Amino acid sequence: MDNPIFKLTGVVQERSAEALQDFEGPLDLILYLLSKNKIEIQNIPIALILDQYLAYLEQRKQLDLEIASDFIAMAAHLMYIKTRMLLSLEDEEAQSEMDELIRSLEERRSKDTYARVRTLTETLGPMSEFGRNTMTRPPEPMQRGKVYEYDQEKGDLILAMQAVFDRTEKLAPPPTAAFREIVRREPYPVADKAKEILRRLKRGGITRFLLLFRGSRSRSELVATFLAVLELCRSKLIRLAGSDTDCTIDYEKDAPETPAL
Amino acid sequence: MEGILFASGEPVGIDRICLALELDRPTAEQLLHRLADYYAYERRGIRLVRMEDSYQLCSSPDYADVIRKAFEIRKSAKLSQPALEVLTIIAYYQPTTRAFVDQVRGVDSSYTMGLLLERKLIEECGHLQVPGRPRLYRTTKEFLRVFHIASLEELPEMPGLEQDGQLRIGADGAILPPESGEDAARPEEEPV
Repeated sequence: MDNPIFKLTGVVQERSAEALQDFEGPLDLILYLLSKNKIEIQNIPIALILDQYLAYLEQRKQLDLEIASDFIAMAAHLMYIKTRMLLSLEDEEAQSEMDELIRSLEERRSKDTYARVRTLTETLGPMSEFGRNTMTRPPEPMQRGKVYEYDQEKGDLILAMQAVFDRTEKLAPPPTAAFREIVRREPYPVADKAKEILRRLKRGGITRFLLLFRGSRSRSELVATFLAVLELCRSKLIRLAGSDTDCTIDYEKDAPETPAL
Repeated sequence: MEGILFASGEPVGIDRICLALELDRPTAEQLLHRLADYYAYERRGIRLVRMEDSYQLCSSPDYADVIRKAFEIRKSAKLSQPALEVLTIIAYYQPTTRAFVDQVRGVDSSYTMGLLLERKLIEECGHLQVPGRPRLYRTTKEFLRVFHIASLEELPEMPGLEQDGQLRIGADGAILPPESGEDAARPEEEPV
């Protein structure tokens, strides 16, 4: 740490008058250095600030100016933080000291800002007299005309629609004709099949799942059977048991007599 | 222009005036400026004020007493010291959060900020992108009119904001004038 000033001659010699600047306290000096380097309090670089801080003290010493004891104490404090951080970046002690320093700096700056603000209010206060002495009118409710007065081409509608689609990047919903192959009116109603299944179970008792499909004449009947089974299961009217290869269906014992489907 | 401003009541953006009268902006500005001068010079009962890009008619402050007498209304209340402080902080540091205002003043300012919001001197303008996403506030056009300035640039300079100014604060928190010895070494510093 001997003669750190030589490293910073460029910075410090900017104006020799700088060293004559009297700071109220060490925190003010640090805040000044931070603002000069355009650094946020939160990101205080301890090594850099310490160097510049010591440079300032050195300059003052050379100019034979007094240095208050709390400035020296702060220098020692900064050095302590720096050495601990050099030893280990994650040093908890150093971190908490840093946090404390940051907190003190922010508090100091707030006080400073507040003092400035209070001075300003003395100037701004009288300026508000204008507002107290002038009056404005609220807007008049205006009736928009009922007649659409603009001139439009037919093509504009199409252009507008195109713009809307471009914006949403979605296609227009497909016409219902496209679905005709996929969705047809149900030729074999599911409800009928469900009733049939229940009748079968009541008469014949437990039966195999696959047997229900025997005798179906069309694909839609098969589909209807399957859906009926699912529906009856859901309504808790039947019970499926067994494995996927050997599945049985049975009538639920405590189901209502005439189930509503 | 006079007609448009009268019909509107509230501030009218200059673009709208340009559109309606088919003028370019510099011409419109010039004409509006002339109109404003005319009202002032002729001691008319109305004045034309500018708030950044908008213009508004208002009653002349010269006749405030008479106008108030005509309607038997009282002068509106002065801004309280806390209100003025909060407003100043927001004006100079906008956009800013309520937390910042609280920090500078050292007290909870929510009530005062509520009042200022009601009087439409400040408004919300988004959120700060940090955890919590606190609301941001700024001053309104109304603020400009009340303080008789056309833009935020016309706000008085904050004392000692530059690097060469070091504000000294006495024991009671009052601003101390810089010592005369120091001034000789720093001729560029502005007087506090």
